[in-house]
Amino acid sequence: MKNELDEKQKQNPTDRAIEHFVTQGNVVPVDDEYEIPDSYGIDTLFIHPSNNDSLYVYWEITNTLLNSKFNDPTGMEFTVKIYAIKMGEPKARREQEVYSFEVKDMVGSSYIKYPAALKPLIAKMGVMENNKFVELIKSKSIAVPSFEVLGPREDLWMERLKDLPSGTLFKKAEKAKEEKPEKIEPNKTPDVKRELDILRQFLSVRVKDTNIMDTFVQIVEELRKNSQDHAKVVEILRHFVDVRFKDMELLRLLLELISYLLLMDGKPIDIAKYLKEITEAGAGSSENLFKEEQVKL
Amino acid sequence: MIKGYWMPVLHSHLPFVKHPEYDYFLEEHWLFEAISETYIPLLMAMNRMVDEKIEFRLTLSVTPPLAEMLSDPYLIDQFKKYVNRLIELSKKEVLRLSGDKETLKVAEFYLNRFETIKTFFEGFLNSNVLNGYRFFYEQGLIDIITCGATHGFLPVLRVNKRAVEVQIELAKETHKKYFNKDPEGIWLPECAYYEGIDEILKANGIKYFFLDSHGLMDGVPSPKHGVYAPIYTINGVAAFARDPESSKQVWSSKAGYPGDPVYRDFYRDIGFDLDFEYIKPYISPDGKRVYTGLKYYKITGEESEAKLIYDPEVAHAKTKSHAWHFYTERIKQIDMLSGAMDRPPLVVSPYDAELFGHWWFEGPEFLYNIFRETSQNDTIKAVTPLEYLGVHPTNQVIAPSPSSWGEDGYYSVWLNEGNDWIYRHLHYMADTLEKLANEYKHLLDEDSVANSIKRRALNQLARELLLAQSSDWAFLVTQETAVEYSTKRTKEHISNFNRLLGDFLSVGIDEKFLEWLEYKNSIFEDIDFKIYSSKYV
Repeated sequence: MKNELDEKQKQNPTDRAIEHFVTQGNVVPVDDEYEIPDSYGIDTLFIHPSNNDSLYVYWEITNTLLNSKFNDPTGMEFTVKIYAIKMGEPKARREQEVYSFEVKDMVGSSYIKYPAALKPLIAKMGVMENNKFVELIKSKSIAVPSFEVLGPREDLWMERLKDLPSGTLFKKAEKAKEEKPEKIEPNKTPDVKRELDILRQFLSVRVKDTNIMDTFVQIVEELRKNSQDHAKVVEILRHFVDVRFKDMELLRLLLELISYLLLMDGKPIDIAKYLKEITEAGAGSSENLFKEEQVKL
Repeated sequence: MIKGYWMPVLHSHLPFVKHPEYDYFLEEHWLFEAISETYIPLLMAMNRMVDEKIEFRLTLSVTPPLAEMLSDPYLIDQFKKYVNRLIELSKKEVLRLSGDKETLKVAEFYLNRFETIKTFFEGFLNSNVLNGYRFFYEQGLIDIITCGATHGFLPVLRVNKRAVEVQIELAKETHKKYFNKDPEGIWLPECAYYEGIDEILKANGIKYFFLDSHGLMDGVPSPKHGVYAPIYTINGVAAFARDPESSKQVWSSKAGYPGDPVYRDFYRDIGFDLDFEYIKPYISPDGKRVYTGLKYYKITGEESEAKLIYDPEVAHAKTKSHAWHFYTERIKQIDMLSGAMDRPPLVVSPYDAELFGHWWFEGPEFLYNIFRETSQNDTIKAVTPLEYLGVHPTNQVIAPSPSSWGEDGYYSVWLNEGNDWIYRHLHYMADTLEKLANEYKHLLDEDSVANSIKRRALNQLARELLLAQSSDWAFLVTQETAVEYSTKRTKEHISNFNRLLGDFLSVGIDEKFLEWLEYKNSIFEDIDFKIYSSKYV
């Protein structure tokens, strides 16, 4: 089916209605001339895919920035480096250089042929000094996390009923089970099942943000130690909220999960280890995200 | 027995074009032609279907700039003049052609048509096209969805997340203003998807959007049902993907139905064909010939020079056979797909609305005839997205691939060497406005003349940014059509923004200039610059 669609895609015309309006030609002379700035006196670097195999980069560097970094920036040449972001790698190896080019202009733009243009990328601009790259500015990262990471690798389905704010996730096999009379598995209480459901939702909301994962681990560890250092917990929570203050859904799920963890009796979950595995899986591949057997009870 | 579903989707959009500084401005005619040739004929077809008890379902986007133009008193007034001129010209033509029986029939057809359109506009629609959309929306026969506030090309704007969020939030507000309820679906501008946009849609209560075929087929994991069932993104927003087969049958000017020899020829128009002195009052005042809307010839043959006279009755009869062909092709398609699916297949057919009627003159009649078939037979049921999700709330979870419906399937139509210069300005403007909105969020609340002017200036900065963001300008530059106008419009808004910004930050605001911009670039009258402030600042 995929090949068939690809072929049809190629054949598909790209007519747009607006073109049919403008085929009449521009008959009213456009007299107005508008001046727009060549640059804005800011330091900026932008990278974005133009296609799945090409990237567009633009930049602007100011003398203010150069003078703050170098004694004599006159005639300086610059290097733009493109890095692939490999979220599964340790922090030190997370950004891997994939392309580099030299530029002379402080304001400019360029296109780069790059076969993985839709993957997570970041650009940095700087100066080579004694064979060492001195970074001046970096772009915002794009496509982080990649859709390839976001996509669950399993047969995951969701049921969304009208007017409900969020859906319920399940695997096809689970749904089939649910349709039979409910049977409680011997080593799992209904509460644990609920907890796993919360975890799944939690991960589906934010599998991508490793910073949150790190903070989350810290919070849970503090709570596990029954720490009396409330200030420390509050500080971590504040940091957590700073990192992702907009995502109230995530916060709700997190708090709900913590409440389950604190109330749960019996064997504790090795949550730090579990989340480390999840973090790595979420960064490089989501293959294991929803495998229940990885949760150690 | 229902074997499958068909979901027709019409994307209605035109960029905001308003030029009160000119008595006659060609680009304003885009709107007038779209109203008289597409929007009103489609609404008339819907009205007819209701009268004839033909069941139909349509999903229609009405983009915020279009809604704003359709409600603009100046443009409504201009449209009325436009229709009156068409009626006047048609009457002259009926007299001129009294000795030419074959062509006279077409001239009479036009006269009758324009008078009917005028009556429908002033009567049923009460001089506002949106009244018609609201009428069928409230009856549940159509689902009206929104789009980006000014059809901004969201992937390239995302470097400033607030810029994208405002495109969606303002679209939602505008939809509510004109249709009295929040939109539940969206047509992403240029069908352009990127990772994370679904999170913003979800935050705005949007339940579904559309993808081009490869956006879904290249998603992860592969969709079990191809493009023939919707999916949920990981944020729980449903995505429906375009069926390439049914698209091609209508989109393609050569292989598709619109190229049939009996249909009206788009290009042969009396604005170009008739004696200059005679047609002069109905073309551009500077004497340049333009389309008038009166076209007497049929396509005839692809390479034929000698065009034959158009026969509306024959053409309309042809829409019946084409509708039947389309309908039976869908049955074949659905039969073929059914074997591999555990539910009735869904065929999603999105088109630019303005192709129906404007480019393909008989298009609205074609749609009417398809609905006649689906209504009479229960093999294929026409549905809206929410109706489908009501019956099939369980769908696969997939992360769609970045994509658009442009040539090559990604972003190059809107980001290439011809138009890339636009984006550094758009990014700077969005960053600047966000900073200003954060800074002045509470500083101008006190009621004073000075504060009022500053607030108005900030609001106009927001309008200029939004208008510059319209993807139409970059698209037209790429297509090498109306390049001068598109470039001018982009530069105009960038220039206005920078001039106003300079005034705001230093010498003081030129009130006359501000007033002029408020009148001319008047989109989103009620906009509040604070919408650009970061939410938790």
